[in-house]
Parts: sequence; structure tokens; C-alpha cells
Amino acid sequence: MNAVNYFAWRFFAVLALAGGMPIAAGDVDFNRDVRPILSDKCYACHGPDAKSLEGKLRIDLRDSATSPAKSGDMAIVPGHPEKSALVERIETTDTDEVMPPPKSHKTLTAEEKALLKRWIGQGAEYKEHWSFVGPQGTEPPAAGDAAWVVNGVDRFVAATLSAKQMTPSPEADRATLIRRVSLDLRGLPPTIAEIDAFTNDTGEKAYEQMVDRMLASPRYGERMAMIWLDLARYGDTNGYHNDSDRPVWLWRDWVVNAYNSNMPFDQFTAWQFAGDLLPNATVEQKIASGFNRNVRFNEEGGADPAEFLTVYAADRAITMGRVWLGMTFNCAQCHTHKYDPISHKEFYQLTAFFNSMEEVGAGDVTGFHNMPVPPVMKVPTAKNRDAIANVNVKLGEAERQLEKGIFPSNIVGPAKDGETLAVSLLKQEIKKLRDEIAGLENDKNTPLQMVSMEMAQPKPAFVLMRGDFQTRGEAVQRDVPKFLPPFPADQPRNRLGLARWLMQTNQPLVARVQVNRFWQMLFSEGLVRSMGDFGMQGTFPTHPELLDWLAVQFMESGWDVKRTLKLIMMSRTYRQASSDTRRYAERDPQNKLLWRAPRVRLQAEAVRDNALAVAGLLSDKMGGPPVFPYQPSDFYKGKNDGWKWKLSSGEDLYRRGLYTFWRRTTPYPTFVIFDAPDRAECTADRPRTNTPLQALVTLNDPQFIEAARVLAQRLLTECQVDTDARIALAYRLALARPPMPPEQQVMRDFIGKQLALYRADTNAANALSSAGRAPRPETLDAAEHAAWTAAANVILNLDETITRN
Amino acid sequence: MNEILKSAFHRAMTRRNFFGDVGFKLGVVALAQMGLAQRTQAAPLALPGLPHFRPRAKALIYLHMNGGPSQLDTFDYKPSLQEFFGKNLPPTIQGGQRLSTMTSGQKSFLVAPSKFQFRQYGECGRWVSDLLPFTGKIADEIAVIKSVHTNAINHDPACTFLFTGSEIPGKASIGSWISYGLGSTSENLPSFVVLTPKWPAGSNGQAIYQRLWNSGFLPGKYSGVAFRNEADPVLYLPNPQGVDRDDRRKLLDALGDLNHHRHKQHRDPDTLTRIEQYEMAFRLQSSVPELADLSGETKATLDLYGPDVDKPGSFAQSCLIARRLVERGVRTVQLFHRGWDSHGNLPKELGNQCKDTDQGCAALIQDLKNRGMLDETLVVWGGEFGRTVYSQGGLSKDNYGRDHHPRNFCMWMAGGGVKGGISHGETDDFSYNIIEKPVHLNDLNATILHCLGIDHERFIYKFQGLDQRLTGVEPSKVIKEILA
Repeated sequence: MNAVNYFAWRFFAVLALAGGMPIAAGDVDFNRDVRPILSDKCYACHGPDAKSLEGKLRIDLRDSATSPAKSGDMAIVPGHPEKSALVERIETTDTDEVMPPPKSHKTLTAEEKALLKRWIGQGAEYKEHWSFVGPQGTEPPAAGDAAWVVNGVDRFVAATLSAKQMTPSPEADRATLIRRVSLDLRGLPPTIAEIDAFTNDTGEKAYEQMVDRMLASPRYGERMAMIWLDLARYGDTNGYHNDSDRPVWLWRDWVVNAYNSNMPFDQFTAWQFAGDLLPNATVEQKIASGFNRNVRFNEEGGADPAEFLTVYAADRAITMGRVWLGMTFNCAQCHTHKYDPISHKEFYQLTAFFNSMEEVGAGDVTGFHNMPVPPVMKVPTAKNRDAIANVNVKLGEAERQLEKGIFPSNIVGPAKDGETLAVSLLKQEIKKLRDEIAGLENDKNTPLQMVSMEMAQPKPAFVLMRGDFQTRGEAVQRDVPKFLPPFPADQPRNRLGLARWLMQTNQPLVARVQVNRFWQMLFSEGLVRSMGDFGMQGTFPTHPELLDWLAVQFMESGWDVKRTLKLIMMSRTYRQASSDTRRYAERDPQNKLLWRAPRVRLQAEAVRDNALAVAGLLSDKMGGPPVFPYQPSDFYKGKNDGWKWKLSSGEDLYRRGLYTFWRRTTPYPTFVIFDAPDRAECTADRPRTNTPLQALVTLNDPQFIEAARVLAQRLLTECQVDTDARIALAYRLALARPPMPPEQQVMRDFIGKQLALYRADTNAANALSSAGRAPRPETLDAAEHAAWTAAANVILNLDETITRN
Repeated sequence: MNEILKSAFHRAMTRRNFFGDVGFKLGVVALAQMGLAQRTQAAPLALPGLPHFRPRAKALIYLHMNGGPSQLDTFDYKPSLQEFFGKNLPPTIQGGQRLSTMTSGQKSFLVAPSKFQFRQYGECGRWVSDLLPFTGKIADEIAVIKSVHTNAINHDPACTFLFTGSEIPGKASIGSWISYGLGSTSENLPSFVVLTPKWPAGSNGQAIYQRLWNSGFLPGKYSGVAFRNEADPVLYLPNPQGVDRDDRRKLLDALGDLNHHRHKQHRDPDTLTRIEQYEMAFRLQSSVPELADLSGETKATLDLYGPDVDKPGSFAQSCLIARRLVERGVRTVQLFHRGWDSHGNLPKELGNQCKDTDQGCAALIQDLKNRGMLDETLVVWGGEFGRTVYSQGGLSKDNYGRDHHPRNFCMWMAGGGVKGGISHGETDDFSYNIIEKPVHLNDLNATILHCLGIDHERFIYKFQGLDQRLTGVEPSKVIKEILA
């Protein structure tokens, strides 16, 4: 190695670290280092979209890039940067010649130019995009301290850390661990009993058993659904314009149950795509097919049904792309994708799988306001189903008697119309039983669910020019994009076949995208940080081999979700402390190398659930129609006044956020303020912001004030010792840990002063100590209760309380 | 998520350079102390490199007339139409264009000339209908664009397109873009505020939605904050009953102590940001009520806005609040006035709509001008589309309705960077097709950004692997002719 090169390499190594993405000195990797530059800076004009291709040069294809142009120049001469036109064009200062051209507003940095030259110098090797090649399932390296490593996850992580002479954080303390696992798997804090059980358990399997208990909790399914509902764009309303209510909550309950029963992900997929097309489809399978109906529905007067049918079909293809494949198919709706290999035609071939469902495109003013949009299935409640079954038994018996001529001997009477009294009575009985069944079946409270139904004959499908429903291009047949495995010959060309194609184990993307989502749920960022984009413009994985290994594990387990989550959670990597955020803050500020666990603010619904759970107010009732917790009664004034928020009562005020009515044009404000999406379309990743409006919610929202008030009475009634003991209880309820002496001091002083203030102001004490509708023991002293309510308000607003550590 | 610290510092410095911000000192000291740039500011800062050039306007007030005002009965004067009264719209004019399904089934498309008189105003001699006498008086201040056109024909997609540059939900709204790019100049108020005043009873008010002021793919802190027109303008602003401002201060002090104590152990910068957000919330609790307190306004100012100015939630009062917001450093005020969807009984409904808004709009311009603020404030007026020249439903001399018409409609702009007293673009004799200087909504948005010192082509945000722009991927252009 000559001196110049040596320094150049060192220079790169340093630069790469400064950028947060470690690039090994030496070999340039096309996927990791080069493609991101070419894709972002060149492909828009020299990439897959033939319509915008400049100078007939495609830089995404090696053959094109290394062929002589008319002028005789070659964009890339492998091994010879000095002969490559590409290098000349990126280095020139001539504004007419320079690439990327000024009008693109794109520029290459000096490092990027140097990297491209080095890559050409090393032979300009192209590789297929990493995520389009199936995961190889490389064995974990023999890295890491044997005492530290638990499983493959740790080996991969240790290998990258030790390559940088970095070490992981120590294991988090027990209190932090149980709170972390509980929040991650249930979206709720651990109870005091659970904390005690875990912290006192000295057995070797204490941690594993704790994880198992959390995975077995019915709250787990609710937590998982909180993520899935964003992806599946679930809402309780139509989502356009007048935004009428729609019956879809049975589907939401199905999702919760599917997670709780650990339904394999391939089955979970097939039922949602095509539950209705499965042979002898069960009620559950049909409910699952409601997934396809989660698209919005336009009930606006004057909307053209033909237009919106194309919108709904496209939305389904786009959602499939984002959720299962991590691809941005939406770009190909109007034109061939600029970066990824999805042609305009392929988009419509895919959309054709979804265009032949029985559905209406749009409804006018009289049509579908506040009407369920067909097809809708009646699903009798379990109680009615049992009742129907009981009546059916009786009916069967009565019919058998009639048929066989068996009559009770004690009924004797005159025959009428040729029938004996006994026959006549039996007939009356049969009619009564039939009416009873019909009545139960037609119970007006019978829940409804929007479901999928396929037309007998698929509708013709066309390429739509620029996505416009009026401008049809060529006719297309149902098919899948060519960069993915071919559609299996033995499967029907419908939604069911499509789901089965997706879940083939030769799919390069599906398993990776799913395990990346599990990873994000546990580490706040995915191994691929661009959650919804595994394409050319997506980010390269921080740990590609780990991602692939997990993907293979997931598939080989039979798509076992709980098992895969547990695999990750058993690792030392997951169990690290989050408390030292400074150690490598300069070398790796975004913690890409996983040298600590993340600190993450809770998801919107969990912010509220957590406060209610800490207070002991949270209802554990599962499922059923959506509920309407506190919300300012005039919230729709000025926006959509006709619609009413039907405030719930009793227990339904305190249900988990998952069950809150999701009105898509004006979602529940507390959730929106904490970054919940409106779910008009599929959301692959919620942002996480930190704003003053969030502070106002947790300080002043009546729900949070009531939670503070009820937490205060819990502290006052459950703990009779003294102020310090009550503060300790509050800390353990909210944070799973005891307070430290300075914290104890601040709280003690605060409560003392508040008590004096409220003793002096009875009205204020009465007002604060009676906030909300939950019952209050009359024996409590109002001033004391108010002072502790203020203290509880502090506890519920701690940064740590709304953070998973 | 943790912001990249260096870029935050860069932004902080940039912002200081541009705005000479006063509330910034604390931040800089903190940064210096930690040796690392760190974001402790509640108010968002400008992006590095923005504005791209000298801005003409610092703030935007967007008066959105939701539902689609009729251009034919307000600004697009077509005297020759009278002779076509009740005749079928010539097929050559209609040109087989797409119609809304509200009227596509009609057997005939009878021309409905405006029943309203028009007269000329100002030195520019602008024709304005008698429905807008106050607007007539500001004729020399406004630039009317008669050739605006859009893609969508139904309200929801059209409004989504108007405010986010896309019919598909999930994109960032214009106010969010502006906050993201230029940051806030207010330490005490959100940088993007939405007002939703009342509208006349009996008008056809369409629903409006969060999406129209959402940040979409941009971080949520750039979302507009919808002030409510009744009760408390900001959700959960007041302290709970039994807690006064002193109590709240004490609570925040205890909370701050506890959070600081914890921060000493883990050193997570997000915790410091959170502490700062609680302080901002505390300031909002006094700055918002102060904003709504009009007792400091002179009688002359109040008179300008007319008798409705005293009514909470009225359009006139909302216009005055909009001025007060901008005066206090708010970047974007988006005002939604509903009820302009006159499918039937247009003369009556549109009359009520104009009466409800005319004086407020004109007063806002005059008031801004009187205070020397008009030069720095861009005001935009208009709906999501226009209305058809043919009548929807029955037609008489005195009564008619009009369906949605995306092919041309009128909007006006005034103030920072815009030439007053001019008219831009022209339509055919039926106000059905543009014959001169079409202005697509993307062009309009490009022009708005231009007035704020932003080059729309360079103003991008990476999302889903794409360079997202407010003005989309198709080329769009700034309307140079209307710029001062």
C-alpha cells in the first residue's frame, strides 16, 4: 500500500464514522457505499424510467454504463476512473457539462466523488440491490465475550462493536428491565406484584420466565394491534369528507385475537388478503378479509364511482407494497418508478388483483351517509349464537316429533281442519321457535363487519396514464413485478394466490420487512431505518447479516411471531442499559451500532394507557364497539358540526386507547398531539416529536387530571405509613423503581407546600379532588387529596413516566 | 428522536443570523456549556440556507373560502353572457370535459349569467360584483388571478390538493412546509395557526379536516394548531379547576427539578427538550388569552372590521385575530370559512357568504396597511375550485345553482411581494376555459413560497426515498407578472 492510498483510506474511515455509518477502509461495497449515491443523484434521469431517460444512458445497469456512447465516450471504464466520462462530468466546473446538472438541485460532495472514483478504480463491480436477493442466513460470527453473548443476535452486534473497539452497555437493572419488557410487549407498566416477583426471583430463568409471562398476557395482542392498525389503515369512519361511521371493529378484535393466539404470520396474511376466498371460509376468515375494506370510501356528492374504484384498488396494492414488501409502489401509479424496478405496467398488473371486489365506488348524499357500505356481514354476538344454537336443538326435536308423529299423551282435544290439537300445538311451537331464531339473527344490535367479496368474473384492468382513471392505456393481466419470484403456476390468480405467493420462503423482502418491524418495536429504530422503504432509496441495514439471520429464523420457525420476539428479547443486546447516552455520543450519536438500549417516548395510545394503568383506572375489558372517552364537546365545531362524539360512560371511559373511536378526518386529539397518524392511508412509521401541546395534554386534559386524582386516592388509601412511603409507592407504580433521596426530597417539599395551600383554599381543594367521574371515597380529606393530586400530576408528567427506558 | 446535534447548532446559528432572535441567548449558552450543540429550543429554527433569497413577506395569511366561490358572481365579469341566458352551453366550449356526477346526468346545460351588477373600483378600474363592496375598496391593493386551475373536481381531493400539493393524503400542508423551512419567530405561540370561524346558517358547509393543516411526512411539531372558535382557543390550555397560575408554576418547578435530576444520570438531550416544551406550554397559557383579548384595539380599528368584530368566532373577529397572530410572529395563519358550495339557491347563499366575509377581508388588508405590516405579510384569498357557468338544477333570472368547476377560478393575493391593482390571466366568454396565462395551483404555491423567500424547486424533504416538494414533480413556475 502506498502512502497516498493509506492516507486516503484513513481519511475515509474517519469521515465515514463522522457520518454515523461506519464504512470499512479498503473495499468499496456497491450496495452499501455506491448505490445510495448513484440512486439519489443519477437514477432520476439515468435509471429505470424510460420516459425521463437522458442521453440513452442508464447508470443503474452496468452494461449500459460501460458501453460506448455515440460520441465514443464510456461513462464508466472499469479500473480506469481517469478514462471514465462519468468522472470527468462530475468533476468539471463547466455548468453546462457538470453532473448532476444544476437544475436538479443535486450536488455530489467531495467524499462522494472520491468514493465513486475509487469504486471505478476497483473495477466498478455492480451487485444486485441487497434486499432483492434472498436472505442467506449466514451463521453468527464467533464474536463477543462468551460470558456476554446469549444468542446469535449478540454475536452479530458484538462483531460490529468490537470492530470499532467499542463495548456494549452493562445489563439494565431489574426494575428497568421489567418495565421495558412490559411496555414493549403489553404497552402497559408492570404491577407492583409483578415487579416484586421478578426482582425477588433469583432463579436462572427469572428473566426468561418474565418475558414468557408478558407474551402470554392478553394485553400483548392489544399492543401488537396498536402497530398493525397503523399499517392496515384502520379507522372507524369512511375517511373522506363527511366521514360517516363504518362497522369494522370486529376486524380489529380479530387482529388482537390473532396475535394473542400467536397465529403464524403466513396465515395472518392469507386470511386478511383473502379470508373470503378460502375453501368453506369461516366467519373468522371472512372477518379477517375486512382488511381489504379498510380503504377509505368517498361518500361525497358528485364523486365519480369509476374514479374511486381505481383509487381503492391502487391503495390496496400500495399498502401491500409498503407493509409486506417495504416498497414504495405508489410512485409507479403515475409512471415507471424512478429508482426501483417497478414499471408503470407492473403496478397495474398488481392492482388488478384488487379491482374485482364487490364494492361501490362512491355514494351520493342520499346513498351512504351513515349507512354501512356493502358488502357487510352480520355477525351475531356469542350470546346470540349460543341462544340460536339452543333454540335450534329445540326446533330439531320438535320437527322430529312432528315427522315421527310422537305427541305427548296428555294433550287430547278436538281435531280442527283435519289436525289433532297436539299436531296443531306442535306446529305452533315450531313456528315460535323459528321466529325466535329469526329474531335473534335479525337482532338490530347484531354487529356488522365490512368484508371482502370477489366478483364471479374479474374486471378488465388497464394501465392508467398518469394514474388518471379516464385515460386508459394497454389492458393488463394480473401478475407480480418481475424483480420478485414469479407467480406460482399452481395457484389461482386472485388475492388468495397472491397471499400464498407473498409467503413463499423464496421471497427476499417479506420476512426481512417483518423482522425489521419487530426490531423497531424493541429498539425504536429498525435495522433498516427507512421502515417503509427497502428499495434503492432506502437506508442500508446497520447490521445486514443480523437482519438476514433473523429473517431466516422467522421463516424457519413457521412465521412464529412470539418466538421471534422472544429470540430478540433474550439477547444481551436488548437487555442493555439505556442510561449512559454519552459514552459514544460523538462516534455514533444515533446508536446505530447498538452500544446501548434506546430511551423512547411512548406511543400516543400508550401515553394515555400508562397514566390510567398507574392510577389503577384502566379497564381490562377487551374488544367490542369503539368507545368515546373524554373529549371537548365542541371539538367538531367549525369543522364538521353535524357529527357527534357520543361520550361513553362508566368503564368505557377508561378503556385502552386501541378501542377509542378512530375518526379519520379528525382523530382523537390527544393521540394526534402525540403523533398518531390519521390512518387515511398505510403508515409504516410514526414520527416522535416533543412539543408544548403534549405538555398541555398530560398537564390539563381532564383524562389525565382524573388519572392524577385517582392515583392520589390510591396512594392515600393503599398506603397508610407516611409521606415518604406514599412517594415511594407512586414511584414504583409509575417507574417501577424507588425514588432516589433527592427526588424524595423534592416531592416531600412540594407536597408539604401544596397541602398548606389547599388547607387555606377549600374551594380549590374541593375542585381538584373531585375531578372526573370516577368514584371517590368520601372519607378522604379534600385538602390532602388535592395536594396528592398535584403530586400525582407531577409523577404522571415526569419525562421518565412517558419514556420507555 | 434525537436530532443530529451539529445540524441543530448550525440551524440555531443560521436563525440567529437571519432574525437576530432575542429569545435565543439561553440556548447558545447552554450549547457552549455542554460543548456540544444541543437543541433546547421550543420554537423551531429555520433550515440552514433558508430563506433562499431575500423574502418579501415574513408571514402568510391564507383566507380559504371553502366550498368553491363562484368566480362568475364575484370577479370574473362576463357582461356578454346575458344574451346566452337559458341557452345551452355550446358543446365547443364544454369540449367534452369531465363533469362532476352531480350534473353529468343533466339533459341540458343552461347558461346562467350572474344576476349581480358589477362596477369598477379604484385606479385600476377593476370590475367587482355588488356582493363585494368592501373588497371593491381595496381593488388597488390586490392582484386578482382569473386563471387558476386545479386537478380535482370533488371537495376532499381538491382541498387536500390545494393545501398539500397532492390529492393523496399524507403530504405536508403549506403552513407546515413554511414552519419547517423558516422556523418560528414567536417564542410564545405556535408558528402555524388555523382558524375556523363560523359561517352563515343555511349555506352548504362542507366538512374540513385535520389533513389540511397536518404536517404529513414532516415531523408533527410542524402541524398547524387549530384554534377553536369557542371555548379555549387551544386544547387543554387552562389549568384544571383548583389550580391557579402560581400553583402551576410551583408544579413545573418541582417537575423541572425532578427531570433535571434524572437528566444528570442519563444525559439524554430529549429530556432537556421536554423541560423546555413545558416552559413553552406555560408561556402559551398566558400568550393565547392575551391574543384573544381585544380590549387594547382602538375603536377605529374595531370599526374597520365592522359590527361582527365583537362576536367570538365571527369571520371579522378571526381576521383581526389573524393580524394579531402575525404581529406576534406567527408565520402562517390559515383561515377556513365554509359554506361556499352553492349548488342551488346560489344568489341567496353566495350573498350571505359575501356579506359574512367582505368587510373582514377588506379590513384586514387596510389594517395591515395602516400598521405598515402589509409589505411583510402575504394575504391569499380563494377556494379549492370555481363553479360552472351552466346552472345546476332549475334556472330563472333570480335563482340558479352552479356545480364544481376546476378548469378556472379566481383567487387574489395582496401584500408582501405582490403587485396591487392588477389582473392576471383571462378566461373565455363563458368563464369555462382559460384562454390566457393559466396558473396551476402548483404555480400558485410556488409563488407563495417565492414571496416568503423560498425557491420551491430547492425546498425538498426526503421521504420514502423521494425528494418531496410542495409543488410536486411536474415543473411549475412562479407567476413573475404579479410580483412587485
